[in-house]
Amino acid sequence: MERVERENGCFHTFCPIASVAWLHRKIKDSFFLIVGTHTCAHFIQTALDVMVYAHSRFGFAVLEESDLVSASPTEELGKVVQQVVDEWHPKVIFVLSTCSVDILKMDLEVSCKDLSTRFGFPVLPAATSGIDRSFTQGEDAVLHALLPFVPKEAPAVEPVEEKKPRWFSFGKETEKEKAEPARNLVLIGAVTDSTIQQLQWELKQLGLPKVDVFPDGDIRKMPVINEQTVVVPLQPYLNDTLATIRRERGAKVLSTVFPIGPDGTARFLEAICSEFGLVTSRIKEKEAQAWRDLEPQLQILRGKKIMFLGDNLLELPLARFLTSCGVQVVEAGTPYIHSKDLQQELELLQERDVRIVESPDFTKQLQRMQEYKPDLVVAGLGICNPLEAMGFTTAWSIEFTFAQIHGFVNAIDLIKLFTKPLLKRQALMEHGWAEAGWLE
Amino acid sequence: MGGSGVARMKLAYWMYEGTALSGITRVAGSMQKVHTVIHGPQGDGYVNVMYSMLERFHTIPPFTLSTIGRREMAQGSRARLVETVRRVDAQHQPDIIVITPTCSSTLLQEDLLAVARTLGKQTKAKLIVPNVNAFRDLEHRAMDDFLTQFVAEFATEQPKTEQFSVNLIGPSYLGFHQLHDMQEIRSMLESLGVVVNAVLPYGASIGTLQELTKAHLNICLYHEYGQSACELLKEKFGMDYIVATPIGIRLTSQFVKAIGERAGLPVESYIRQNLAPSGTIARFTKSVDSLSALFGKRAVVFGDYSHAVGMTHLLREIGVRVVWAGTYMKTMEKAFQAAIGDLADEVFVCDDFQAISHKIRDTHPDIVFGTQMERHSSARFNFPCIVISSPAHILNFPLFPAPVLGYQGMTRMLDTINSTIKLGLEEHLVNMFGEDSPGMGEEETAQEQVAVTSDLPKAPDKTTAGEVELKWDAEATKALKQVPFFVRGKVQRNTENYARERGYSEVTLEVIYAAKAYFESKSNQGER
Repeated sequence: MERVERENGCFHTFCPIASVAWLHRKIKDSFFLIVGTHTCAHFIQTALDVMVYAHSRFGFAVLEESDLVSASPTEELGKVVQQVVDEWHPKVIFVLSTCSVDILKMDLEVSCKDLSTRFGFPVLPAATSGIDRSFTQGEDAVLHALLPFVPKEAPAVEPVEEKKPRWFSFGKETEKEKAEPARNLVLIGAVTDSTIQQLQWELKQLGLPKVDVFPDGDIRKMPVINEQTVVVPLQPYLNDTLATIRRERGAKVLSTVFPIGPDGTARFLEAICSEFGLVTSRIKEKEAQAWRDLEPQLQILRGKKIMFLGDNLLELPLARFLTSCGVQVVEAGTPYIHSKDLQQELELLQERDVRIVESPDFTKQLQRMQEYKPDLVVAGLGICNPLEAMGFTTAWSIEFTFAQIHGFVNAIDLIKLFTKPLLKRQALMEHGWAEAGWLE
Repeated sequence: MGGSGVARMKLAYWMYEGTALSGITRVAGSMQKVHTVIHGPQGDGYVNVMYSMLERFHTIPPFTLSTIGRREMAQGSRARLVETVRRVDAQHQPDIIVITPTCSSTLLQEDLLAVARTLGKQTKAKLIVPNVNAFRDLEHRAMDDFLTQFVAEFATEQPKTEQFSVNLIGPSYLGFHQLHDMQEIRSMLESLGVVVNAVLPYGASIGTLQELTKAHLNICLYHEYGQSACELLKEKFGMDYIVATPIGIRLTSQFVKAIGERAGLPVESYIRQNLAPSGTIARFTKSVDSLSALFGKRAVVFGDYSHAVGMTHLLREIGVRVVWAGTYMKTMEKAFQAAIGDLADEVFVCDDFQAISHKIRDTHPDIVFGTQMERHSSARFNFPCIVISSPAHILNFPLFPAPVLGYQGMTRMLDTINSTIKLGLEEHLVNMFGEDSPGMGEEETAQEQVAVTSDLPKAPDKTTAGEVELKWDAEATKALKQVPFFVRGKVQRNTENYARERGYSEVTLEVIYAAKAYFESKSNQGER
């Protein structure tokens, strides 16, 4: 971590509550209730556009001034939850906290506990305040809230018969467990069903037929996580969830790179195979094939300079993938770096002399941009258009959170997020824009 | 809301009106050499997105966040604010720095005024703290208060211009077609021989504010905000003002006459000329097509106050019946009733978008005039809809001149109506013979049919003669189902061709993925 610069600056990003955009679709029969102010509501509708709203299973419990003085939010929140229940009949409600809740020190945890009992289904608090969390960390908060629904034991097939001997045969039981250490693999991250299917298929080819994923779309079907579990994160921003799994479940969290890009996917699969004592030799072939498939795109990217301003916390894995593509990553700005969970990504980037800036200062970045003259800038939605007008070519960082970028099969979609803006610029140049003078 | 004090935590899905923060940044962001420091958490920077995406800003929007993070919560946020203001002062050299409160800074009870007072002695820029309740106030209220504050701060007594001149109060960024309206009103005033002394807030600087009193009349173009500033200028400097949103022929006539009266200019011929039988508005309204397509049709109207009132007038002027008209501006209920109570069958205020959606469904209108939300609600029930008011989105920031106000605004609205509804003859034919499948080319229709039939592995009789029948295993079938229906047929064909060429007898996930890699890689250019 010595070579990570910290600017403690102001950069352009979204608030964690924006993660409802993908989470409310991932968790079936859920409702996301954001406890906040008018600003929270206005932000979400501005950022997510009208179309998302029509049948969306999320809403706002808008705080009014009288709420600021009331002793406990339970009663008021209960009325709002009742309205949600009447209209949507959800099986689980996530109550998302915001900056205001944080500042007012409202205890939503206690309220949610009371409301779960009152309504007879889970009403789960998730800490999504923007005071100390970034855009994508909303997913971490929601997965963390789901952990109590992750069973420690697999449901027994014949519970009555199995229970009996357990009481008086401790010795035998341990022997039995030693004989068959039923280690299970759980991948963690709210990715699409199609991405899950691809990763499961890869691992099946390598000899691991059963691969669980947390979260499942169904709250009743969450995978087992205990001391026998090997957990591997799919997203780099799930630090609280991983910490709790380590602490409370004693599961092994595999330290590897993220399965983003052929290189990342290969290292990820190798780490899993080594952990489960499987042969890893086939992975190299697959990686080589994946790179061959990307060759036309690689030709576009090689030697290009790309800069990440920092927004979605995917910056380090993406930068690592780009360096493997032969790109010169001139700066990998990122809001926050969890040095333990990102250790391997950090090591690879530092080996390759990539400048890493945590919590970057946008004003300083603007100056550095003039020096670097990057071919492509990956930036937040709020500043792409002005940067384009200044002559830079940009990619929206938010696109990486909505696209499917994990694994070998999706590598083509991933790389095209980088090549498409470059190809567009080239196409415009070839078709009339050269004479405008400001495009070079 | 409404500041009654008894309101409690409320379930909301959607807000028709923006926040105080968006109101303040609309005013400050529309002005020249004014930079805004937003004292709030990281997420409050979302105002940048509105400026850069909707207004397609080509410069970095003039807003800098003074971030309230965990550290600021623990140690106080004053140091951060001071540092940010100093940096903005040095770097951007604005005339004015607006230090705006946010929900968070309000809850933290930060005394921004005290900071501004101390710091203002050291900065080149003048520091202004908007006198709004960031937690409670909504967009229009904040705009109204903040404009008044600006005017009170800077307006000075000035000699009047020689020629009769006016100030246009209202046009700003992120308003509904407001910059187009501004151009239309300017050219309208030019035709009448009236000079525009100043526009506020769009393009205004300290100089503009100081010289407001040179004008003879203030025109507040939108009823939602701006009137308080006019009232202040009347009290302090004796300036006359009118509040008018000229939509449709009657309100435009009134508007023109009100100005003509005060300017001592004849306006009758201007009005006559625009409503002449040879003019576009009359030719449209009198046409036979409009008789069968529009006369007696049932419309519903919903929007902010100004646009809902204006559209209700306009619709009656072209022979359309207004079954109901509503506004989300709950504070303006009385005025709304008075303005259009006798033009629509029912008039109401409501800010619950689902209630409006249900009302549209139950009314079964021929056409809906509403906000972007009503456009979406109407699409669900398959009613044609025209957006006439904020909340807007990118479609309401068109590149071509598209005013709502004045005669040009009406002409454009008639064009929009024309392209949205079925014209008379077309409607007759449709009623007689039924409709073609809407908006689908042959290619797409064919593909959809393929998609429908290929939900399951194909029936043998579907294959072309001579081709080997390919089996899809369960996993591959599952994967195929995840492909959107409109390209599913194409994906299936491509995958099977790929499999045949390479001698596979069965389509497995391996084949699908290999085929995807192959075709995606081939289609390098263009679409993803």
